[in-house]
Amino acid sequence: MSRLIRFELYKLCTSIPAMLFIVALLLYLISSVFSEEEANVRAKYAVWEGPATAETFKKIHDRANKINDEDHGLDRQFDSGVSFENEAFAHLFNIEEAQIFKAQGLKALTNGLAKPGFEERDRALHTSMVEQINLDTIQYHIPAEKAVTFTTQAGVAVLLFPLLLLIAFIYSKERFSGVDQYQLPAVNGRTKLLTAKLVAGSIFLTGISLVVNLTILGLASYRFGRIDWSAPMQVMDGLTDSPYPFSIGQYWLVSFGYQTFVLIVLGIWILGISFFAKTAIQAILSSSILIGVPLLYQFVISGIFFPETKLFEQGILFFPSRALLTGEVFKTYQTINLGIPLLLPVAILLVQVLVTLIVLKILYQTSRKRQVV
Amino acid sequence: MKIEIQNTSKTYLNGKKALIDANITLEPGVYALFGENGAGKSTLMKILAGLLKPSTGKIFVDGQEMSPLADAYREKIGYLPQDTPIYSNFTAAKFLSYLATVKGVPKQDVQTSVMSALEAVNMTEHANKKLKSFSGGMKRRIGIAQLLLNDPELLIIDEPTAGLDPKERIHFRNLIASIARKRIVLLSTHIVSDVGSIAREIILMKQGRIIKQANPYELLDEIATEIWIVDVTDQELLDLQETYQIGSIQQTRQGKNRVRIISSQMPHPKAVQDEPQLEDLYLYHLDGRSKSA
Repeated sequence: MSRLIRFELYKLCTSIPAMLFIVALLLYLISSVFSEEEANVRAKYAVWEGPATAETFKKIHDRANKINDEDHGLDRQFDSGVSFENEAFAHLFNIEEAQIFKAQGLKALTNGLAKPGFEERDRALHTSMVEQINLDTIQYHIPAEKAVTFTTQAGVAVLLFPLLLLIAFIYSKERFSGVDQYQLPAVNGRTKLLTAKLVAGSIFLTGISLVVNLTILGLASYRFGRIDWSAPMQVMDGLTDSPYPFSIGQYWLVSFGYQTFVLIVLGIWILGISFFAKTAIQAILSSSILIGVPLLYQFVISGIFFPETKLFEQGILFFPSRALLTGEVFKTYQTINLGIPLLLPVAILLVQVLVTLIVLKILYQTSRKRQVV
Repeated sequence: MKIEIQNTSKTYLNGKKALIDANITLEPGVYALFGENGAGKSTLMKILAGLLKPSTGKIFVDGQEMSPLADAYREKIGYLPQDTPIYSNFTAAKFLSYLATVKGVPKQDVQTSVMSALEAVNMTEHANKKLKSFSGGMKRRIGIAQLLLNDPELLIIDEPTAGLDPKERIHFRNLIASIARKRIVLLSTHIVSDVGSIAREIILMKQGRIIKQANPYELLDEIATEIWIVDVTDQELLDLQETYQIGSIQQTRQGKNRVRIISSQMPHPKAVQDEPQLEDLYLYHLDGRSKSA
């Protein structure tokens, strides 16, 4: 089996043009993360490091108003010093916003009595999670935020392309090129080969995920020096209302594991599509629809073609390509009522595992009986 | 090894009957499948290779009923499809190592079996070249090499000599003759001269049915009195072509046409009988105009 897996990995890794494209895309996207002006922003931010008190934020607001006031704002909008300071403020205000969300959330959670049963358990879980979030300190977190934001947003594109360019293409090609006519009559050519492809695909995608994360980690460390990962993830843009009591570093690790798992799930689904596709174009097109439609909701046409209901918004997160954007999954407190509250990220994984098991069953059954007409 | 195919038929989903009630017994030796395109040769071979499930019928291996999808059966076979599919970015040796692994060749034997397979098809010097640089004939030789990797007892070969030059075809014929001593080799071809001399039996197929299965000499004896040759003028040739089944036409030094005719009656006053060849057999049984006169 290990030899079969090695051969399947070799097939995936030796498509030089596709690999070069993926590396180029990674480097291009990463280049947008590392602003040349980071040191200047850091200098403006550093002034405010320390306890995150109401008094500190009042001072920050006063300063922000002063440099952006109506009398001087227009004149000074091209002043680089002002823009660095404004960028620092944007990050600092996220901390204040997270504090407000935390306070309001806890107040709402302790207001009145919850109904016994699910609501009570749900509220208890939510409260205990939010209480653990520590937003008492302002500490310079921009490099950590930028690195993690990359892996959970733009970096997802780097994770998705190998699925289309390699897994969908290479595995569908086996059928239409006729190589399966060597494989299927062979003793290991059906279920064992399918297992090898599944394992190799999973190893390959884990490798891609690892490379993306390690590349950004390496480049961020090289560019910014020692990075402080200890700030709470709520200081990150878009995550100020998140209930998860993780530091940015912990969130990165969770996100890496989560993304890798979802990527493997998506890889298995796409392998399934490739298994049945009659041409590579058909495989790539079908896979693109599976990947692309849920992403369109996020980036292009949410309010035009998709209903803007909470159920739909939650439901679409169950699609792997959306779940790869971990910021969306972890940004608010959402649970599924199973008697006990099941956190949305866990529910997404469970549903994906269930669908994957069905896909695997179909794949193995078909593999055992496959014919070549 | 003895394989018996009993009452085997294949009807596709579109209703096309590709194989009708085939009954064959195969024992070590070369079996040549002759038939026009669509006669059912590839269907029969794909059923034996485990690539198609028969609609009806049974297959027995050494007296035991067995599904061609069973592992025990698949361990015994080697199959070469009509085309030669490859992984173009693999080297010849890597490709064969991969297929050896898929065929279940033990790890310690892979290298040896790959090298001996390459040697058998005279491709040793190309072992480390990428397959994308190979000509059609070279790819075909790699296809033939992969047949030998797992030392199969049943080799199923669809159009083995397609794309091979005359020298390679002779080499292939000798190779098949040598490996068929202890194995069953079932092959299909349009080029009857390639395998006629080494075939233990010839199986003639037409419209999904096996219409003849016998030793080549027996089959040739059946048409021994029906092959004629005669030298004729161009006008006479036109007349003969309208009435009789023509095997071949050659120009003589005298500027006449030496015509080979398949007919149960003397086609021309000057016609003389000739020894039947396998090509005549093919035309006699499989050409649409057979036995018209």
